Amino acid sequence: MAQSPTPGPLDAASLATLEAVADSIVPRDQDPGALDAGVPTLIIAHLTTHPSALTLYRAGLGLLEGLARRAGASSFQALDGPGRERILLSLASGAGDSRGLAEEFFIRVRRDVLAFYWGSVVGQGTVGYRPPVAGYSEYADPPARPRGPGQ
Amino acid sequence: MIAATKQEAFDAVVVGSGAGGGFAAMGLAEAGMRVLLLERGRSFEPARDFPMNHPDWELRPRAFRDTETPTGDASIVLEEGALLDQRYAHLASSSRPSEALKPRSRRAPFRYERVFGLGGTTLHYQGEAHRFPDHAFRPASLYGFGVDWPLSHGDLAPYYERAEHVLGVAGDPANPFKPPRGPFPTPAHRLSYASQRIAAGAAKLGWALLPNSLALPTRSVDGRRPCQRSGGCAQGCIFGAKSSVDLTAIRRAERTGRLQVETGSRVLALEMGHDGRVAGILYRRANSLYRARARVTVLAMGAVETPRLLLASRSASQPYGIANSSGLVGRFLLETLLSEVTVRFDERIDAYKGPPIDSRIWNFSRPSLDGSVRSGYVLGVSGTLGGFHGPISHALLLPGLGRAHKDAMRSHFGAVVTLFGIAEQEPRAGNRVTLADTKDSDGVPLVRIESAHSETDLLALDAMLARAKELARSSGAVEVLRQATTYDLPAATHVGGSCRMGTDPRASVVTAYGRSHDVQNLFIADASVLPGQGAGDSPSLSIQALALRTAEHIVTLARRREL
Repeated sequence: MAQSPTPGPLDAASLATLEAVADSIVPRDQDPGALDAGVPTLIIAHLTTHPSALTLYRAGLGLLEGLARRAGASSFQALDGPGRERILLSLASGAGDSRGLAEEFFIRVRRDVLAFYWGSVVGQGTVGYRPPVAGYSEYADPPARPRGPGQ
Repeated sequence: MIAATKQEAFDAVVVGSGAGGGFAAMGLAEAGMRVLLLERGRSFEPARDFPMNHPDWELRPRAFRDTETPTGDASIVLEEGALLDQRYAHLASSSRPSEALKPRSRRAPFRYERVFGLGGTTLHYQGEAHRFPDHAFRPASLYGFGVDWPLSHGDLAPYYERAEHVLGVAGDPANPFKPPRGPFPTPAHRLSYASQRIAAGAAKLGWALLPNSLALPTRSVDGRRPCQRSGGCAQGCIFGAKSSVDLTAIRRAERTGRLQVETGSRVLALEMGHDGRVAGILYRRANSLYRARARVTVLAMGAVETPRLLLASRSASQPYGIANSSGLVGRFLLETLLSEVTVRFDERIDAYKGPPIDSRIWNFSRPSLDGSVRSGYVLGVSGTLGGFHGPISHALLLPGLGRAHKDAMRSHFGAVVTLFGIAEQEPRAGNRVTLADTKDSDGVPLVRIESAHSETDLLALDAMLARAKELARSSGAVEVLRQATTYDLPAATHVGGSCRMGTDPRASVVTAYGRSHDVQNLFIADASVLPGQGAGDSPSLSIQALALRTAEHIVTLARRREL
């Protein structure tokens, strides 16, 4: 598993929420998930150079915590998988009193997690993708099946 | 600011370094002329500048992105297009899986997919290198469609052959839908696995899916690596294998020692002399103004920028712009007629591997004999069109999150392909480039694009969409993920016609040699001279062949002292 992010622009609670969000958007199953690909670290590195995105993330992660507590949990991280997904999807339709923020944050965090995961070698291995740095000499042959879990 | 006049003496100034400009410069330099080539963008180094060397290439900006509208230095006023004919509302584009069609009343703003950079749009083109079919030069005589060209396929054939050798075009000469020809400079690519699947579906319908002819050499040409089938032509070939003009014609021209290239040079105006000839070319490089002088000026800035410059270079003595006694500069603009469907199979076909558009169906290149579809068109297969290319684009286009999204990725990635049709648009005077009131930072007026479909165009879009869906079904596709047509979303990958060639000075802007009817030392060597679009074939090779013909004519005139 990839290392946890070092302290940076987010406090420990927000960082834990971010990790839970990333794990919810691309969970580990028979294949590695967002945490295995180090997605939170990549997002934090991005946030250190994008102040407006950092502001959005801080507000959005705080909103998620509030929604989790309203749902009776001690934190977003404490929710089970379906509970996390339910709250995340509620953002897409403008949850709570912060409709604009909720939608904007959902679109942004979904995009970032998916992009960093599927842009990583770990994520790409999940679907058997190899970037074309050596070309595709096998392009005319029947495609090989993606590798199975643990291979 | 006062322009500094360049002291060097040039025989010719070529403005623009894309398909036409690069080949015109090569033709002139190799014939002994001293040539100044002015290019607005910069030059690129494939291994250094192009993003596909990185796993996260989809997150990285395309090297040319900032030079394309609407993200770059816009030349076109961004405004909604023509009213949509609601009888054809079923052609509307749906860009996301499961998305309901959005009703709209007008076409989206015109998108112009140009590139500023040494090599022009060949930096991002996908290497298609087509000789237009014979009948595409005589559409009016044969089908009552458009206008006949002032030259025949036979007139252009020697220049096609020369251009193909410069590019190392790979192809199969056994194409029954094209005039007989000799072997291509390099052998055809094998069909990709995805195209093999589609070919089987096409055969069931009685159609032939054939290898495309491509400027993606299958053997080394001029010491460059052959095509590595990376599928990355549009992002810039990291191997330097794609025969873009900067790596082919311009390199050859530079080897003569008679070509001077100035990148980062934006031409602002043509200056006319009292004798009715172009006397100077005014251009900006960084923060300085320059004036170049030459016996001949060749414009090759593309079908929007070339008429823009001619119209903007108006003066008291030329109130309608330069070379515009016909009033046709900017008129008869031809945009791209495109219909496509992105479909999913229930197994991996890995269409992203291999040349991006490696196969074509030419069965419909001739207009329909029953008169229902008067535009010739072709069908093709692409693993990179439609927004689904690498894993990131797939992931962002699929809805949802969590395990369901991951499962969808496992079932979709590598199983998606786009089938498309491209047709020839019916030329109409009302489709045109005009100057707007607003100006850019250099003080050059922006342009407005007026482009609407005729009934003929709409019938072609309809037919192509139906054929693409038919082909998908026959090939075993299990789901249509999206459809897109230029009915509502204009595309300008193949654009031309705005300074059309012809024999009649009242009905055309330039001669069959690209020479202005009005200004004896002014030539045009780009897509704007094309009177038609080759029944859906890609125009680059025809632009290059015409540019070589124009260069040869200039040299002949110079030797006869008739310039």
